[in-house]
Amino acid sequence: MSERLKHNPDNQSSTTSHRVAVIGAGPAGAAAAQTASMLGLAVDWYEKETFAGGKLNRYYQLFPGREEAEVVYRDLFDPNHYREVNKQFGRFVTGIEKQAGRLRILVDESQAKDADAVIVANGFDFFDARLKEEFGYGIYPRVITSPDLEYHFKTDISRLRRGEEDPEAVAFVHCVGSRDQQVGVPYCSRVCCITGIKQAIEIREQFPRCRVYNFYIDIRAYGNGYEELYRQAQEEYAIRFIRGRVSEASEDQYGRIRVKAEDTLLGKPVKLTVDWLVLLVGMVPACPELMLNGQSDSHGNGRSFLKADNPHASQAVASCPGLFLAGACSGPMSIPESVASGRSAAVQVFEYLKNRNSSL
Amino acid sequence: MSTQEKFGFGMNEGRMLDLDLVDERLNDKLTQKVPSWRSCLRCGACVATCPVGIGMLGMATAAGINCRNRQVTASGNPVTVKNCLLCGKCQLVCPRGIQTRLMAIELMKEIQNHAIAV
Repeated sequence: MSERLKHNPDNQSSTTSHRVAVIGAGPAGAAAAQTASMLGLAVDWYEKETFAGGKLNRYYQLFPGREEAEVVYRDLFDPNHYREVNKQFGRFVTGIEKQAGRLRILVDESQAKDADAVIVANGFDFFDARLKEEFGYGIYPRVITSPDLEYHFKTDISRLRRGEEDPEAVAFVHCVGSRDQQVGVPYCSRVCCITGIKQAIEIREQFPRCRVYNFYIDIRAYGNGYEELYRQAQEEYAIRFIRGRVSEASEDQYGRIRVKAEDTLLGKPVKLTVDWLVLLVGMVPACPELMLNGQSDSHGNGRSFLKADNPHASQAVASCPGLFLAGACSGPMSIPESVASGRSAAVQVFEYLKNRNSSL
Repeated sequence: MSTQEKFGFGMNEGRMLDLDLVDERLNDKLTQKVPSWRSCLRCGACVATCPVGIGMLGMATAAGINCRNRQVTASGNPVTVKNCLLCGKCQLVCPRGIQTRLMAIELMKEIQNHAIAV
């Protein structure tokens, strides 16, 4: 390994003839495209939108440090940090085919382009909260999702006021579309707990007189600094964490949301009226068309996260030679994890192409 | 068997806590004196270690959520604090380092002042 790394500068030119396709321009795709190009690979970078950034464009601040979301793209999307990249933005990749040892990218239904390696970084979708009918998303205007709230913060948080008045109470519901067999999402999405904690703090900062409640099953604040933020939310911001799942939400005569739940620590049912009910939605796999045949076994809505061949050895290498995974296409991930995963995929593509070269 | 035997079912008082009817005053007063109280995880370590079986956890829940709503306090959770030995074991085991002993003292004061119904 060390010997190979030593030879890298000399061998770099040998890999430039190789084309690497990166699918997706969110944090993982950007990290992969950037790193691959800096390693001297020729990159075709596909993105269905006409701009980079993905969902990040609608985020306000990042957990746990509360930096503006822009800090991610300040570095990641800086053109000075790229070499040969052929941007194919505004183009939708409909599939990947394997032909005679090469991979073909199918674009916009009719066109196809060859690639020596493909990094899939098509990310995730938010769980469709309308499937949990009992929470009333899409029925009551004052029931919103965590990405909705994030966008309100980013654009104009005063939308949460009623007239001149600040909201009096806001409640967050954890695990909407996570750990829920009823809607075919058996896994934990990992980042919603800390998102709920962060957004609860932001609400308290914005509207200091507003009471904020978080209804949780259990708090899974797994990352560095997450637990500290959780504690800060309780101690400094006096956010109330109630263990128990909201059973139903309904609208009262003023359009506010009435919430019913069991406080499982008190062993008593509770009810509460809030101005806004925020559903912390989980992460589900993105478009199913990208999957290679036999790549996945799906659950729920017919979609599935892509699987690494041997996740203990590498999260990035898929079972099909030449296919690599980056970011949340392989499972729920935070932004730093996605970026690390994108960089890791690019390095492993570089390794793969070099090894393939020497074996020819 | 008595002829006064009761019929098979009756009306119970509602158990539901209405968080819209909260009275924050006592809670604010207590948490101002012991801010760490808010960070209680309800893990139960304090209850398990207490030599006289005080439901510190119930009190934390009561202070954190429902002291403002007399329903819980009236049902007796903080009342047991009168038996407290002030040994401080609960404070030693608390993973969040909450000043439980100080809270017990403050609760006793509130009981004496009749701020909490006994």
